Amino acid sequence: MDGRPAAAAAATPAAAAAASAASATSGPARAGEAEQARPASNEYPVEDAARLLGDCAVCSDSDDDGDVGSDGDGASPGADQDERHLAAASESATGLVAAREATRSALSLLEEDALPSNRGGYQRKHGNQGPNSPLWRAHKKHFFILSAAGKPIYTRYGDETKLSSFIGVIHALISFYAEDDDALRSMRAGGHLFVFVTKGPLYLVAVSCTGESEIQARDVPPAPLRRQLSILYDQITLTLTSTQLHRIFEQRVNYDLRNLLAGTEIFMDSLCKSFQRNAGLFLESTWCLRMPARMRDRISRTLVDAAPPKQLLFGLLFAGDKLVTFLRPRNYTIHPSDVSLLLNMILSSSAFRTVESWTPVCLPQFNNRGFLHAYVCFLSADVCLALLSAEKDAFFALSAYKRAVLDAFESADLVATLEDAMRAGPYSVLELGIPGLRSFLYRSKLLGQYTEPIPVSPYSHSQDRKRLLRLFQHAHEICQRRPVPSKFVCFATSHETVVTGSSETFAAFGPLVPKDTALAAMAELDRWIRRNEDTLFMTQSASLTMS
Amino acid sequence: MSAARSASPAGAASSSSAAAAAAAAAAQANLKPIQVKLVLLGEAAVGKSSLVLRFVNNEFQENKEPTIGAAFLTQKCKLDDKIIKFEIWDTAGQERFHSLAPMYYRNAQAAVVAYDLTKPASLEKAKAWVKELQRQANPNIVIALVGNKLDLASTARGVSTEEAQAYANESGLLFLEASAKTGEFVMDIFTEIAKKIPLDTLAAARQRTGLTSGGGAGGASSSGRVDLNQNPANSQGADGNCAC
Repeated sequence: MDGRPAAAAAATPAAAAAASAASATSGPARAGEAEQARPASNEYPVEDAARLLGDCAVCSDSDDDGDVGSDGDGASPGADQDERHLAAASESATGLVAAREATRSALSLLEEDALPSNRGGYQRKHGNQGPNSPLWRAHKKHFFILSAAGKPIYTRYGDETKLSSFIGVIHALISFYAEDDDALRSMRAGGHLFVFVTKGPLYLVAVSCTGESEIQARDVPPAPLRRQLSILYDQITLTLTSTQLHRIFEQRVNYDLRNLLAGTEIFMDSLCKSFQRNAGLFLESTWCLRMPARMRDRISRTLVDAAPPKQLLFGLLFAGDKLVTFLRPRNYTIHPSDVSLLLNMILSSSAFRTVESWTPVCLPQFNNRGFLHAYVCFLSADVCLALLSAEKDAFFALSAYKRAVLDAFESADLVATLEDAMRAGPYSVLELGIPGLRSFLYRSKLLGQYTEPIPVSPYSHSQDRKRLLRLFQHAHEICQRRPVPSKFVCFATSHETVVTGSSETFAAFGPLVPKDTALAAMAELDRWIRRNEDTLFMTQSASLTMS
Repeated sequence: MSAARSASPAGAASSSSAAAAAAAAAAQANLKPIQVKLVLLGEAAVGKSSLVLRFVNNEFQENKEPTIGAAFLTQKCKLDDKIIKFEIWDTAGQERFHSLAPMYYRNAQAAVVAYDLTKPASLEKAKAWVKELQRQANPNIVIALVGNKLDLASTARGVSTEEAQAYANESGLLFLEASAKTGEFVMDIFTEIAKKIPLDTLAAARQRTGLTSGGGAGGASSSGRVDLNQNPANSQGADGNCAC
C-alpha cells in the first residue's frame, strides 16, 4: 500500500470524471490534461458527462479525503470502513438526505456485492459489483471494453449490465471527440488517470489510480496502460480473429459481443492479474525454465525424434508457467506475445487439466486474420504440451504424436527430469552474491526471452513486488524512448533505486545506494548472466522442416 | 452395465497402459472393443462436462470452468458379452463454438443432447441441436435427450418430465433425467445408448474394412488411426471459418 491518498471522494472513476468536469467548467484547472483536446470545446463534453452522471456522482471533489486505498486485487476493505468513507465523502459533497440514501443502498447491496458471480461455472470474484458499490470503487485499476455503439463488452470488476450507465458516460466522452475525427487519448481527474484506446470496432478504457509506477503520478505516461489495453484487445482477437471481429460490427453495429466472448472472461481476468505480476507481458518476452542446456537439447531431440506429423505447425512444451522448448518450421517463428496469450489461456482455466483439448485459437502476431487449432494436453500435473496446426482435422494426428512423445518421455524418465528442473530452476538474487543488488529483470532482445530471480526480502510481500514491477515497467518505458536518453538510467524512490543497464537489464538497489556501487553491481550482473546464458535461456529451438 | 474401469483418458501417463490392459482383457474374452463415437451437445453450463466426468472418472467438480473448444475422452464399458469403447467429444456450449459442431457429430454413432432441467430455455436450445442432428448428422445416429441437474428437481425444476418425455417420444429420442452431481442415472444414459446402437453391424463393418486390426496392445493405436483416416474423407462439408 502506498501512502498516497487515493482520493476517496473521487473513488468512482465516474465521480472523478465529474469532479474533473466541475473544475473544467469553472476554470482552466485540469482541462488541459486531455491530450489533443481543444480547450475551447473541452467544457461541453465534461459538462454533459456531469449531467449524465447525475445521481451516480454522490461523491464529489475533495481530493484528500483519506485512503479508500487498499489494493484492488488484494483484500476488499471491510464493510464498516467503506460505509464510513462513503458517508464522509457524501456528506461533504451533497445533502445529508442523499448521503443517507447512498449509504443505505450501499449497505443493502454490500452483501450481494461481495459474492462472486457465476459465469457458466467460472466463479468470478468481484463479479457482482455495480458502480454504487464501495467495493467496486475501491479497486485501484479498472478496465472497460465497449463497442463503438456503446455496448458493454468487458469490465475487469463488476457486472457489465449494472455498469451500463457508467459505460454510457465513457462512450459519451469518447464520442464527443470522435464526432470531430479527434481521439480522446487520456485525461486525469483527481488521482485517476483515464486512458482511452480505439482499436478496430472497440473502445478500450483503463482507469487507474495506481500511479502505474508511482514516480510522480502526474508525470507518469499512460503508455503502460495503453500497452495493457492492447494486450486485452489481442485476447479478444485470440478468441475471434480480427477479421471476424470487424465483420460482426460491419454487419450489426449494435451487436452484443458478449454473446461470442462468453466463457472467455476467465482469460481476460487472468491477464489483468498478470499485468501486475508478469514482466513478460510488457517486455514481450518469454520466461524459459532454467535447466542445463544438455538436458534441454535432449528434450528437444526427443520431441523431434517422436516424428511430428506433417500437420504440426508449432509445438510448445511448458513446465508450470515457463517454456521448456518449442518446435517450429524453418521459416516461421512464434512471437513471445503469442506465447504469453497461449500460456495464459492454458493456465487460467482448469478445463484443460484432465482432458485432451482441441480448440481454435488465433495468434494475433502470427496471423490475426485466421485460426490455428490448438491441441492441449497435460503430460503430468505441471508439464503441458501445446501443439498447433493450421488444419482443423489434425486432432487425432496430434493426439497420436502426443502419445509417442509421452512414451519416449516415460522411457527416458524425462517428465521427472522436468519436474526436478522446475524445483531446481528458480534462483534467488542471493545466490549471485552481488552486494547491494535486491532484484533484477534481464531481457535478451535477441532471443525474446527474459529471466528474473525469485523474490526475496524486501520483496516478500506481493505489494512490494507489484511496486517494483511498476518501477521496472517505468524504466522499460524510458529505455524505449528514442533517442535513447543515456547509457544508464537511474532513478530513486523512497523504497528503492532502479538502474537500467546497457542491454535490457533492470536492477533494484536500496534507495541510498551510491551510483558507482550500483554500476559495479550491474557489470557483475552482466557477467553472471553471460556465464549462465545457456541455462537461463533457450538458445536454439529445434527446427523442423515442413514437408 | 459396469464400466470396465480404465484409467483416466486424460492421455496422461496411465492411458496407454490402461488401453493395453483393457485390450488384453478384451482378447481374453475373445472380444475386441467396439468403438462408438459419441458427441455431447447442449447449451453452455447445462453440465455436459460434468456428465462425462461422472461417467468416465466417477467424479464431480462443483463450479467446473467452461470447456474450451472441445475435449476428447474415452471410456470402456461392458454390455452383456461385448466391450464398448466410447470415444467422447465433449463440446463447449458457447455460441462461438457452434459452427465447429459438425466436425464432432459428423461421424458420431451417438449423441447426448443435454439441457438443464431448471432452465426451460436450455431445452429449447437442446431441441435446436436435435433438429440440426436429424438434418445433418449420420441418419442412424442414436440421440439421447438428457435433463441434467435432477438433484435440483425438487427445489428448482423448470421443465416437467412429461413435457420433455413427450418431446422425446415425438422426435424418436431416448430420454432420461440424470444428475451428474449425485451420479443418479448417469450410467443409464450410456447403457441405454449402447443397447440401442446396432453393435454387431458396427463391429462387422469395422472388420470388413479392416480398420480394427490385430489383438493386444496394437489395437489401441490402430484404432487411433481409424479416426484419422476417416476425418479428412468427411471434412469437405464444413470449410470456412471456425466460429460463426
